[in-house]
Parts: sequence; C-alpha cells; structure tokens
Amino acid sequence: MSTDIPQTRAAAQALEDKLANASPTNLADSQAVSTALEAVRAVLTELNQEDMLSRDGAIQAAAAEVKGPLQTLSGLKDQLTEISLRLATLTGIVNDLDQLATGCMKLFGM
Amino acid sequence: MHVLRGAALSLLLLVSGCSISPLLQRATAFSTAATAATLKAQNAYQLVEQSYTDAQRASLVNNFDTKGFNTSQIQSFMPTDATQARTQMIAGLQQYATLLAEVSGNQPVTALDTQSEALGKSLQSLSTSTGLSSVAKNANTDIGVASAAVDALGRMLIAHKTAKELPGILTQMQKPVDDICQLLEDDIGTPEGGGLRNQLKNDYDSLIAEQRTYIYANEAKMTPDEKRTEIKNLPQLVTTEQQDDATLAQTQAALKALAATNDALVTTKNSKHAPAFQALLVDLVAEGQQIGSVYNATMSK
Repeated sequence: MSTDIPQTRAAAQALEDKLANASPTNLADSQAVSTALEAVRAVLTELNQEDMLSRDGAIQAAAAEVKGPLQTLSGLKDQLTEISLRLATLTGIVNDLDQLATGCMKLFGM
Repeated sequence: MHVLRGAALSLLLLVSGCSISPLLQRATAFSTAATAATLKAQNAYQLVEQSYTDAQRASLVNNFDTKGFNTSQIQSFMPTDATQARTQMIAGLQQYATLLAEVSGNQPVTALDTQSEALGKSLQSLSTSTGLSSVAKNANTDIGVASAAVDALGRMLIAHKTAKELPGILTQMQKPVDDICQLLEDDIGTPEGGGLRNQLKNDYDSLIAEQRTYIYANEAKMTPDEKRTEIKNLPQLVTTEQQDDATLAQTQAALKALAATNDALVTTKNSKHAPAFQALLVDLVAEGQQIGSVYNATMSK
C-alpha cells in the first residue's frame, strides 16, 4: 500500500493541475470543470495524509470521505471527455480520471 | 537593505564584543534574531488565513444564486485547533529565544519567568492535543516525535534557569527545536507536494474556477463595467494566491534558518570564535526581514 499512496496522490494532483489550467469558454464547460476541481480537491485532502493512512482504521474512514467525490468525477467523465475535444489543455483527461479511480479503488478497497 | 545591513552589523558587533563570555553574547544575539523572525512568522499565518477568508467570502457571494448559503460553506483555511497549535509552537520558540537572553543576562526576571512558565504549561497541554495531531498529520510527521519535542520545550520553559546552565539548555533543546522547526516546515509543505502551500494552491484553483463560472452565469445581466470588474477579480485572485504562498514560503525559510542557527550555537559552546554561527545569524536576520517585507507587501494589497 505504501507505494500506492504516492502514485495515487500524484495522479490526483496531475488531474487537479490539468483542470486548473483548463480555460473553458462557456458556462456549461466552466461548471463541469469547477465541480470536478472541487471533487479532486476533496480526494487530495485525504491522500495528503499518507502517514496517517498507514494506520489501522484510517483507510476505512478516508474511503468514506472519497466515495462521493469519486462518484462526482465518474458522473462528469463523459462531459469532460467531450470538453477535452475543444480544450487542448484537457487532452488525456480520461486517462487521468481512470488512473485516479483505479488508484483509489485499490488503495481504499472499493 | 540598509536596515538589514545595519541590523546584521549590530548583531555581529554584539557577538564580537569581548566583555561578556562569547557564548552568552552569541545566545543574546541569537535570541534577538529568533524573536524577530518568530514574531513575523506568527503574523504570516494570520495573514494567509485572513486573505483566504476574504477570497472565500467573495466566492460565497458569487455562488449565492446557485448554491444558496449554509454554515458549512464557511470554513477557515486552517482548522482552529491546528492554528492554535502552530501559533503556540511559534510562541514557544519565541519564548525559548527570550529564555536564552534572560539566562545570558544572568539576572532573574520575574515577569518573564511567569510568562515562560505559563507558556511552558500550555505547551505541555498542547503535546497531547488534537491540534498538534492535526498539524503532525498535515506534515506527515510521527505524532510521537512532535509530542516529545513540544513537551520538552514546555518543560524547559517551566524550569527556572541561570547563566551557568546555558550550555546544558542548548544541548537539551537542540533536538526539540530542530524537530519543532522541521514539523512546522513540513506542515507548510510545497505547492505541488502537500502541506499548507499545496492546500492553498488547490483552494485558490477552485476559487478561481468558481469566479469564472460566476462570470459566465451572469454576464448576460451585467453592464460592461460590472463585467470588467468581475473579470478583474480573476488576476487579483492569482496575485493574492502568489502573495500568500510567498508569505508561507518565507516563513518556512525563516524556520529553517532558525533551526540551523540554533544548531550552530550549540556546536560553538566551547569556542571563542564562531564564524559559521555568525554567518547563519546574518541569514536568520535576513529571513526575518524578508517575512516582514512579504507581509507588508501583502498587507498593502
């Protein structure tokens, strides 16, 4: 598990950076990016506590915290994929979303 | 710059004087520089909290029509108990610096003893608090190490010491001061890797995205001047984020300099001359001045 945390955290931060650098030019795209950013930020808050996550019971508590944000990101996947066709900065976002989801499922036993 | 040179020169003159023992003089000089740096570091935390609160309020106003308002939307950048823990640790370092000056002066100062004792007791309570756990968690630091360091500093502040005990105080406090400074440095972190600076970056990314969404959602109802004002808020948020990050980074640098100078002071216990210590002391003075400059620049925004 110790190697999963830095990798999953790096995937989350890469996704956050990509979303923060996106420059949506209409309301719908901007709302999708804002909502996704909020969700990634919530996941990052849990992943930033690497030392604590290695302790008994902490993983289950963190899993409960990230469940909602991961569902939000999953729900935005199609819309973000569609936006990425118009915004070059979001190219490859599907892979970033998948990496984060896979990392979190492995890490949190979902 | 002239002020900086002047302060550094004064400290060096103090250190190089010859009527008092060299170690007492160095401890006094360290105390002066460390007190100035820690005082500014405390202001830095408050400043970042305030500017984050301002930005968050602006975001709440922007999103009121779509998200409404509930109390959970008002969240401080740093939880209250963790903020208190940070402030108490910095105050503890400051009081340690004062203690060194006090024992170096070889005169009992009752008011300072009372203050030192009170702070020492509060640090001992802090060592087992949720606030310290929260800071250790944020810094990815073992709570046992953090707790032991804070407790040791608290015990030292409670004990009443005299000048002849200075070498012993320095030896005993080297590790706790190093550990507390390292804990606070790691807690501040980096924009990319974790800690307060990473939290600040990610929080501002969200605030900027929300401001942009607000503009798109309402631009049809805005006059050209209103739209201009809202668009101008975007680069202003970026500037505020950069200034807040610079304040945290400078605080981190000052804590690093404080630990390094304290280490050097310990290693010069038996030395008449201490050029390495003097060089680090100049750095510590400079870092303290730098926090002051960043703080003043941010206050004038």
